[in-house]
Amino acid sequence: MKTRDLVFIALMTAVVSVLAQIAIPLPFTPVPFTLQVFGVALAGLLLSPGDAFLSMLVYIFLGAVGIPVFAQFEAGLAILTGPKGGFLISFPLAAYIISLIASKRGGWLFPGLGCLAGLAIIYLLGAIQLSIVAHIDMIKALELGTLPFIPFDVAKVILATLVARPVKKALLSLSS
Amino acid sequence: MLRDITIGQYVPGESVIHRLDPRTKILLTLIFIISLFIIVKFSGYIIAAAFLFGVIYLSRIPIKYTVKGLRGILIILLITILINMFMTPGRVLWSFLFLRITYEGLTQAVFMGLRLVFLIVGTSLLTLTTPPIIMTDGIEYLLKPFRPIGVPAHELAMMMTIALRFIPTLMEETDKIMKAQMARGADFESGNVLNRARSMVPLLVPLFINAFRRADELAIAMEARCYKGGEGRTRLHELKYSPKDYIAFFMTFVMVGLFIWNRYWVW
Repeated sequence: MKTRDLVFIALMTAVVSVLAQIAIPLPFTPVPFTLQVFGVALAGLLLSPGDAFLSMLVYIFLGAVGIPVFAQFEAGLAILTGPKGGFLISFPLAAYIISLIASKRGGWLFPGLGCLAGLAIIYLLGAIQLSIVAHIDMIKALELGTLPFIPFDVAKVILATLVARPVKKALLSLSS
Repeated sequence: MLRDITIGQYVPGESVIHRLDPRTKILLTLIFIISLFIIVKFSGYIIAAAFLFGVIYLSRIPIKYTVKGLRGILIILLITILINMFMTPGRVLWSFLFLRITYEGLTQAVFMGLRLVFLIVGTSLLTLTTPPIIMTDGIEYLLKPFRPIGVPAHELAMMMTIALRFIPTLMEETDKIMKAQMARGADFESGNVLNRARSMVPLLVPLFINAFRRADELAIAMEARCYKGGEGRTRLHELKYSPKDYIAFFMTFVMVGLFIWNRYWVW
């Protein structure tokens, strides 16, 4: 791994850590509204698939060792093994898929499609863990953990694609 | 707030638990999590509780810290208990209109709730007694055997450290650019969601470009100092297992043994 890639991956981890703190608790569900997903999408759009995966893995590790990088300054293995953990655990895979699809072709379509696929992965894995840990059925888990967030998340993902394009252009000029 | 982010949840101390090797603590916590699912009867939780209280006592961490982690899941704990209580079919104990509580539902609800509590308290002990940097070392050591199959053990630990260093910088930068754009008349607080999102773009783009430029500088600085990854790196502090660690492993296996015994041979 090149030193530059290593530092860029770490930077995206830091970005998601900071974005996760911009959180608004919602009254009707235990999962708060955060900009985490925006960060995940951004990692996927800016880094190569493998690097995007790693940056989210590092994020999970940071939280696991007790640094309050998860939403609302939470941290610890307890969060990952708890009801909300599945959403976090899905981030590496989601970022990987976003990057994979987005790198197929430039323009707006493929990055947008990638982000939606990433969202689907986050929802699915998140709901699976929620239903197992909280011992409720899958439909209920989807209702509680994903349904209220779909409009917000789609908005965040659109913002991510808007931001990623100029940043990526600047990155290319940086590497030359 | 984020100023003391590097300290994490660590509660400083000199207890036996604090001085255990981080690898021991990580592995034993994982074993504890998995073994909780062996328990199928309430009596099993007595063993788990005894073990957990033993560890808390030895660690000299005030109980109030260990249950702090429960606050974050309070709502979901309640939902779990309620759903399990009302949704499980079985012998009806109490009913009112469409609500009914069954015997099976009640026991199920309490059982699942307890499991969640043990899960959270048990795992939070790990982060309460281990500083993040030591834990990062532990992770690097534990992942080393997986290097041949492509797990970048050293790189992961290095990236964790670098990310930690970037977080305060990013916070500062966000604040600075936000003020700069506001001075130019940018408006982040009015309009509908879509407009607000669009007003974030001129804030976020320079933020990220700046951040990547900084990251690039760091990479150059590292290479100028001959950083070349984990290959052949020596350390100031080597991790070493001591007799305490073997005792801890032994005690945990005894606990798992008791769980299995409880599951198959008691009541």
